[in-house]
Amino acid sequence: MGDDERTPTPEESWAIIDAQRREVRERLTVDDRILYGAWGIAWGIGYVAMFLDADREGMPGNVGSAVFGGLIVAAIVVTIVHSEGRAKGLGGAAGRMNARLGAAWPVAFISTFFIFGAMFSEGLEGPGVGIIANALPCLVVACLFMGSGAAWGDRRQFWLGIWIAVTVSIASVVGPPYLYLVMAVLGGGGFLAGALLDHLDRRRR
Amino acid sequence: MNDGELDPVIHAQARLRVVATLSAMPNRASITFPRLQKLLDMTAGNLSTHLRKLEDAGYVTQTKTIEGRSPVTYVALTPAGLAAFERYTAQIRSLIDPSGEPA
Repeated sequence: MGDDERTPTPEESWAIIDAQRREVRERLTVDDRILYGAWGIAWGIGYVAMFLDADREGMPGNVGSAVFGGLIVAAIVVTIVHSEGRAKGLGGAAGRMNARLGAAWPVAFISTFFIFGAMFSEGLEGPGVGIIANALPCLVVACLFMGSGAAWGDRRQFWLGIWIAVTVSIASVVGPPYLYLVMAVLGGGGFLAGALLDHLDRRRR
Repeated sequence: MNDGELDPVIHAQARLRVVATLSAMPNRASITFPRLQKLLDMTAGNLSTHLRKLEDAGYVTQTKTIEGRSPVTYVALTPAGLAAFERYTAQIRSLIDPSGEPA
């Protein structure tokens, strides 16, 4: 068995424990700086693009919507690739909970698409449509963040969920086109603040 | 186990790495054998040997399931294993710094 059965000195033991903890943290746990950073950039830039491209009624034009849509798709890809990669091979009760919470996202978003489809086929128009089209998916994000944060005991994620709910409430009351600016500054800013706080936490450890 | 004696099941380089890794799993998740092997950079045979010793001591469980069509083994620390590891880390800490200051 050779080296394997060697008994380490207390200092070596401590170094081994420390190294393995770091290894697990760096390879198996989700890096919130990456996730919140991607969403902060997507919301921060995407919503500003929609605001700048909004017409007199406050509805965003094709260019603004395309920039926003592209950034959101990029953030979704980053989220899936990163979290799947880190959670790969994890099982047990935590693994099952992770998989179910992961499945809740596409289910909720597909549902919002059906609601949008129904709205458009009924011929709904005007600024009200812009408010609902923005609020519905954002509320999904807010609720799932609060639920996931509560489930994992992740206070920052829970509070970020509340922050997003507050942001989307303010943005909806303000209405287009300033709705998009509120989303960019408070929503995008909230995500970036989450990423920054996570970064400071990691440096302190 | 009496006072200062270190648990011989954990106090060996390779098994300490295994137990320290399993104790740090996010949200107490279990982990597949191949992912654990990759994380520890050990050979499959070597890891199996140590896992068997940990399993015999009641510190680790290995659960075999079928996913899709292939068998998958999940490894996890038992509550007894976690308690033993916590006792071990407390002993190591006091050996490094007998004054009781956090190491």
